[in-house]
Amino acid sequence: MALIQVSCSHCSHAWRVSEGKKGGQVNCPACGVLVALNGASDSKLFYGLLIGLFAILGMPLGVLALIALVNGNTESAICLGTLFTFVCVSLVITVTVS
Amino acid sequence: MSDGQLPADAENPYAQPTTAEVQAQPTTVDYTNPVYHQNQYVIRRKVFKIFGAAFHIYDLQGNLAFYSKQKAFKLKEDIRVYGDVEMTSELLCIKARGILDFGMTYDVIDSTTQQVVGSLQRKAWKSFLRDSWNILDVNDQEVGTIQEESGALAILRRFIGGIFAQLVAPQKFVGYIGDFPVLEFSQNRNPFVQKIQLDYGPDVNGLLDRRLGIAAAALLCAIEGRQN
Repeated sequence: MALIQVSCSHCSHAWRVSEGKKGGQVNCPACGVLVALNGASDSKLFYGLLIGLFAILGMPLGVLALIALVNGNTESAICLGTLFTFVCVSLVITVTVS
Repeated sequence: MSDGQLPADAENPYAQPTTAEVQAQPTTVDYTNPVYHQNQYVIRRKVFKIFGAAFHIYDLQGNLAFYSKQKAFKLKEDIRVYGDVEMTSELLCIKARGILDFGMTYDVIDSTTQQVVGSLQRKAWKSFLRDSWNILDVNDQEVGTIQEESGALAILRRFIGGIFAQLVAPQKFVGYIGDFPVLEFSQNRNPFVQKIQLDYGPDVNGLLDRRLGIAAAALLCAIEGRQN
């Protein structure tokens, strides 16, 4: 398994742990302080699912909103555009928080 | 000076303690605390809780041993175990390494010493048919397992589901360190009052770190309870 570099925030000691510990907590082997490893162990899967969700929900809404706008159906375009914006904002918030 | 009066410079033995003297000392609960070393506990889930989850863990005498609370609105699961309901003495912290609850690993940290005790890992695919967990040491090496006792009953539970499953076949988990049984979780039959009995009776050799046992109990209630 691949290793990731960890640096202690207290004593600056650097060491390597297995990638599976990503997103978890480890004790520094030098000073014993608890160090949180950034990220999440399943971040690739999580972002993959988010992109998939966007492709399934967001993109069709955006395309339909554009078609409605081109055809002069303003009300539909506004509705679909609002939904598209809602999906995009939700995804941005989720990515930011995670 | 009359009888019964103290000299002016003498210390009055009946004097009320000052505020500073009666202030509560910071709690320093550690693993040697007898609260960890009971053989049986009863876990009760708080029913009227909308966000997150909370559990009371009582010892055999009915005294509150632990209070566990799951934080709501967290992308990564975060469960804390306290020594009291007021949550003044945090004993354990259980944190998920990832976001998605699929084969997730949860680190168990002793909050009093800030030491990682070990981890509990949910077996993703195997849990579809039968809930199974791995007990990992600090180096992520598997040292034990916790799984539903009967494979056939586990499948039956998944088919009938919900309240009926609890009535007909309440869940029972058995934990092993190596080949030695160390703990048992038994759910009660009453579907309206979620009660789980935690029994360390089989662990005659003291193989299991009891902090991991308590963390496993909190996790099973929070994660498996949510799925039910």
